[in-house]
Amino acid sequence: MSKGEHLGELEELILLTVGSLYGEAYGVSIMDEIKAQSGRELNVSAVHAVLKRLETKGYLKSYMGGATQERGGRRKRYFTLTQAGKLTLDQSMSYRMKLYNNIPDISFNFSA
Amino acid sequence: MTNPPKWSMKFLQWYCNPDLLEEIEGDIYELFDRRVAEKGVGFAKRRFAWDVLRFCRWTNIKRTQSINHRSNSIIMLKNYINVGFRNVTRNWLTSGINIFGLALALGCLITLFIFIDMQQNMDKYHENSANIYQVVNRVKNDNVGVEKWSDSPIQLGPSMVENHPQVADMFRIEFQSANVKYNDKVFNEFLAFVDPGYLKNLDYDVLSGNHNSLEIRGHLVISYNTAEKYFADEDPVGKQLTLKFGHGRIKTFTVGAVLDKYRYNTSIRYNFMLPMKNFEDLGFADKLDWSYLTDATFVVLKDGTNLVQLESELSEYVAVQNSFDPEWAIESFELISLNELAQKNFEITSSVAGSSHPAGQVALGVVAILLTILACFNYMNISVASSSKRLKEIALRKVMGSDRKGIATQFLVENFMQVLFALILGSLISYFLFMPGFNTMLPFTVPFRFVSIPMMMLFFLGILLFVGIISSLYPALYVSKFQPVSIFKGKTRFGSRNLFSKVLLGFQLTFAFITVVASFLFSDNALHLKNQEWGYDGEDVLSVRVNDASQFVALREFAKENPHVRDMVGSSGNFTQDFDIMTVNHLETEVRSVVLGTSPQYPGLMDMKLKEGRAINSLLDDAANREILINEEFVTKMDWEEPLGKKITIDSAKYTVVGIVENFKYHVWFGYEQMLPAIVKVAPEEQYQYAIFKSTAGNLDAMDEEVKSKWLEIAPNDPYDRVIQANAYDEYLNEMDSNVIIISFISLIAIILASLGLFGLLSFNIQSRLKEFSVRKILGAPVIEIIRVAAKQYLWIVLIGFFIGAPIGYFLIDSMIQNIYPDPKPTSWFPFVLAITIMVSMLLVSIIGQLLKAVNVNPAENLRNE
Repeated sequence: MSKGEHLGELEELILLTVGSLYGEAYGVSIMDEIKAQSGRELNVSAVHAVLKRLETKGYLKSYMGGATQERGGRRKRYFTLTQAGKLTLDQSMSYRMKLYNNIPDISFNFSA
Repeated sequence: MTNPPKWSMKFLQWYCNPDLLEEIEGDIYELFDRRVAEKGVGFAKRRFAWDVLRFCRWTNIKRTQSINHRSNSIIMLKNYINVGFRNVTRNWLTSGINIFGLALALGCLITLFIFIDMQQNMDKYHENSANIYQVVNRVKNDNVGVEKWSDSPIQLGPSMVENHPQVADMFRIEFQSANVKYNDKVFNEFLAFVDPGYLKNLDYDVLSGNHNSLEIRGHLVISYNTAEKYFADEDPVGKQLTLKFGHGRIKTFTVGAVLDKYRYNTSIRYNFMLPMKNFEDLGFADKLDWSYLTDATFVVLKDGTNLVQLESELSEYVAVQNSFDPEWAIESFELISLNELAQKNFEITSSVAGSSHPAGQVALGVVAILLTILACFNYMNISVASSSKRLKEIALRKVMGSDRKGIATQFLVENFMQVLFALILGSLISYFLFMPGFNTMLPFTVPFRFVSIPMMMLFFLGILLFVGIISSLYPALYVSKFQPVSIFKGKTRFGSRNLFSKVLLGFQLTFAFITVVASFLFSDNALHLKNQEWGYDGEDVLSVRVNDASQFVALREFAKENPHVRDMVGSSGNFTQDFDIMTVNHLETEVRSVVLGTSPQYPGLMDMKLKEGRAINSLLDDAANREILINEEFVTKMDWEEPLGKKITIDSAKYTVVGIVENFKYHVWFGYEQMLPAIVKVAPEEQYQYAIFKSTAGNLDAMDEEVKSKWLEIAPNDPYDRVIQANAYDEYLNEMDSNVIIISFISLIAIILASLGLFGLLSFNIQSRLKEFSVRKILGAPVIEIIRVAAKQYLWIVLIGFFIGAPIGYFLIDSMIQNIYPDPKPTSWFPFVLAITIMVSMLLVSIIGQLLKAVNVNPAENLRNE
């Protein structure tokens, strides 16, 4: 994994959220979901910036949705995972799991 | 329904990239609605404004969409250059004309710039040049107002160093002349006595010897050229030179140092520099107090000296000076920086920095810029016309989605490419053709060099941008404007019918007519002045300068025996070399007249043409009855009907007119000088300064050699100073030739540019009208008719150009000629007719091929529709 493809913490979080919101991921919904799941409050502009960065890295792709009555008739830009994005998430998850599983049980023995 | 704050919204819309606006706006709008419902309007509005500010970051502001777009524009640029290159090679003829025309003009501009650059940077290489000033006398002259004199009191420099702490050093320059002898080499030389500060403060490079030689009495410093002249391969340092000064004293000097070759931008340059102390010793003047003026005084000031204050302090010397020399009262002293001296030298009487009036530079500069602008016009015209062939390409690009900017860029890139070509070609033309040509006409050599590299870069970049923009902006903007629909329909046609291009062509032709008429009138006058009769026969005549009577007598003895000498006389004056201009009287009338003192045989030897009366009879010439000859101008001036026998008083001695001779050219620069009344009188033998020899036909060179070898015997310490009379005017004649060459050259380039312009426009016009000519031919139009139709509109432009240009050219050059030459040739019709004939035939030659193309169209080929 070269440096350019490295995922930041927030990037990984948002990538995961986009995956989990499958088909319904746009700026505000992603922000809401992150707050709901982790309690973390983000400014929507930060979400936008990360989304754009992920898109140029090729982990996300986007399309404009149809017009709706809400938000003054403005369209939403929906994001979905690309194959590359999914792959990166898988790798990231797998090495985390691997490291996690390597932790010996003894270290959980907090009473000692 | 509440709305978010308007100003925030506006701000967002203003900074945000339009491509991103909708999604960003949507998201914060959604949040706003939610917050209004949950926490109230005020909170929502505040958070809205905050969000807008948070979104204000560079990625949302920048308009171009990152990576893809950038690489795309590089590809397009490459594409433009490619297309441009193909276009140049496909239309090689017009592109060639374009580039060549522009290159010619740029070559002139570059050449001239180098010249002016050199002039502007004269002497600036001396490290301390900003602190070196010449002190000039401002002298009131009743006739011309205040004059600035380079001559200044010889005591001024030392007094300034002594009394003014700001003055660090000074050096004075005093001119004398002497016969300089080394072994058998004797030449008359121009000498400069200078103070030691001369070499200390001016950064001349010393090639060999002691840098402080000027402080040693009896040493001198010579220039590189002088070292070659006297010593050839020897080392000059330590050698002895014997100098015989004008007042007869002889002194031997030792060569202390040799300077390296002077840099090309050096205005103060001497061949012999002697210590000022020696000047004081040699006793040229009775006393060297304030009444003696030396030729120049320079002072070296300390950094940060207040000039105005120093100048006012100098006023204390004005009274001192004026008490010694009340005749030429000084008003004040003025300090002129060495940096400006070369530019101001024309203001200073007998300046030490040479003298060239900047008017010539300015005139040539204006002409070069005009030529460049004409070439730009040419370029524009042909560029617009040639895009008429590419209308469909433009339309297609527009249909494919290219915007106007894209098309304009394409044309700009193509044109800049061609201008760059022209610039390179122009530099080459200047380097290999113009500069060498220019240098042959100057008394010194200007190298193809810029004083500073940044200046050079700035100049070339400036030309590229200026010419590039001036010549391609119009075509680029004009061509990109067309609507594809009207192009495909065949409605848009341009180039030939365009008023703008006709006006430009009109300018070119007008300018060409101005220069052609001016050049022919100027040349006609120059040739007339050049070929005027001298009024005597200088063929086979040699004049040798003698220093005393014994030398003359020895030469006369020699002449009696030498078979090559046909005749030999003495004279105190000689045409082109020595004559007086003084006021003589006839009764009460004063006449300013040239007086030439000769021997009675001199007019005969020179073959002066006697119009009336008789020659001076040497036997009758005695104190009671002195005879003179006068020239025709004298008679005209005095309006005498019966001039023979009239009495004229010269220097209180009375003379009788016995003969009238044709006007003769006594002055080397006779074209520039007013022809004055002239008198030939007899001078006593003791005053003879010249031995005039006439050889038997064709043996001048042999005689010259023999006289020279005799001279070495008679006067080994004096230079053999002789003039071959037939060549006496060469300097003047060469300058006349150079002037004619320069002005003809300018007009030649103007004609070439105008012809190229006409050719370019006409050829495109005919190209686009081939179908029309074909139809005319089928319908039976005769050849003449087709030519008339094809050339008619251009004939008008040529006529207008002529009727505006010819009178302007006439008035310009006529006033110039009247100013320069006191006695010009009256204007005749001949040069006009010649100028117009040449101009019209040049134009005809340039378009005849194109007209024939129109006449010889093959209707079958042009009307066939495939």
